[in-house]
Amino acid sequence: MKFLIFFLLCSSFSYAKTNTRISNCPEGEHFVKAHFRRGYVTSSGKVVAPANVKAHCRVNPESYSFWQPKFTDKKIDNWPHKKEVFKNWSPDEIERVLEALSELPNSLWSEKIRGIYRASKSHDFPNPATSADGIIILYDTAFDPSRNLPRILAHELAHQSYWDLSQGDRKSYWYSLNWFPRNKQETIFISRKDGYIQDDGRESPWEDYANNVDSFLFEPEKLKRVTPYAYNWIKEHFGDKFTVRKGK
Amino acid sequence: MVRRVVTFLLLLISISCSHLPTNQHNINLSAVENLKIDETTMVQTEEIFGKPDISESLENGKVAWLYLEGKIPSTRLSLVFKNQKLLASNWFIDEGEKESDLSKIQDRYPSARFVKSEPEWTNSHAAPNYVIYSDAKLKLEVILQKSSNKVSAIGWGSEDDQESRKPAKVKYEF
Repeated sequence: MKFLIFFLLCSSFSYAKTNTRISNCPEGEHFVKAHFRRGYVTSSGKVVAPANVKAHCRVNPESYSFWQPKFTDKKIDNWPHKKEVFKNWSPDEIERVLEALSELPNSLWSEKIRGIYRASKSHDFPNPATSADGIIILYDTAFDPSRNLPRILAHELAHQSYWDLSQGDRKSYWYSLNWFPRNKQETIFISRKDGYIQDDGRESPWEDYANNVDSFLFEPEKLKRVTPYAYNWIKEHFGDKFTVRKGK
Repeated sequence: MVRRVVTFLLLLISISCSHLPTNQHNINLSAVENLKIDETTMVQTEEIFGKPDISESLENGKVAWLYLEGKIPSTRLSLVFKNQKLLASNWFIDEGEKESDLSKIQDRYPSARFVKSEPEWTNSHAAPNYVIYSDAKLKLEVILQKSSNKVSAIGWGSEDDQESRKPAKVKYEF
């Protein structure tokens, strides 16, 4: 019995020691707890196999210092979608999101985004993400192997980008893409009849904008063909460096 | 000589055209304030502001008239009529105008007692980015954009089918 207690104490001490040592990562790296990583496919088509990942220090992706402080396990008080259940981030999800954000151009990294939340299932299932006034919520479906996580994030960041546009830029977008507000809330528009890269773009210029921005990054040729005015506007507005950064 | 004069005249015309005021409808906020909901007719409106730039037939016999303005043309005034009479008027404000400041709106309508409300979500995965200040007695609504903290539009009256006008049942704050 004494031997067993001694063994347990020693092994826990040695585990703690290992963890302490490993969590003391050098500058430019961060500590990743041991976890099970689910398999997924990157936006460039690379297959990442599921694996038991040991605790380790990982070189910070470019997005780390900007985005890491925004991950939160909290729930949003008075969230209107009452049935949505907030949950904690798992280490592998945080790593995947950081990796995905690093692929996206910095011009989509809005300072106004204060929190990235995690919830189980969208009110609008299988919607993978929701944006609202400085926040992004990712649901379980965002992490489905078949989903393109960088593109999902590009879409949500584009929603924020739309609100960050100056009034002049917003009007320029409206005019180029034929959006004319009809009500004061700017929720009803007189708009073009066709030329939408995704059908839900008909709903509003901000959905249209988010669809066009994520398509510009991930399916530029299709956007050029379907909505050339959007392609030209985005190219002119964001410049030549507005592309997906591979291999981050 | 004649050729030079013609060239000069053409140049003069092109210069003066490029400086034409963008407001070709003679619309201003005071004139919009004078319109009366359920009373002002389409004919009277056209006499005041001229023909709209865009006219669109809506459901239930309603008609929307849009007047555009600006270097980048955008809606300055939107009017909705039913049975020839005005149902709703919406005045869009530029960021640089004094009415874009909420306190100036309060100064302009001193009798207004505004109630603040959050709108309902019209797009289930992207929240609206504005709040509404309304005065039911004056049938006046002011839209304040959250991101810029600027008033983007004010309006009177309502469209029957304008779901987004309803104040939110649930308020949310982050």
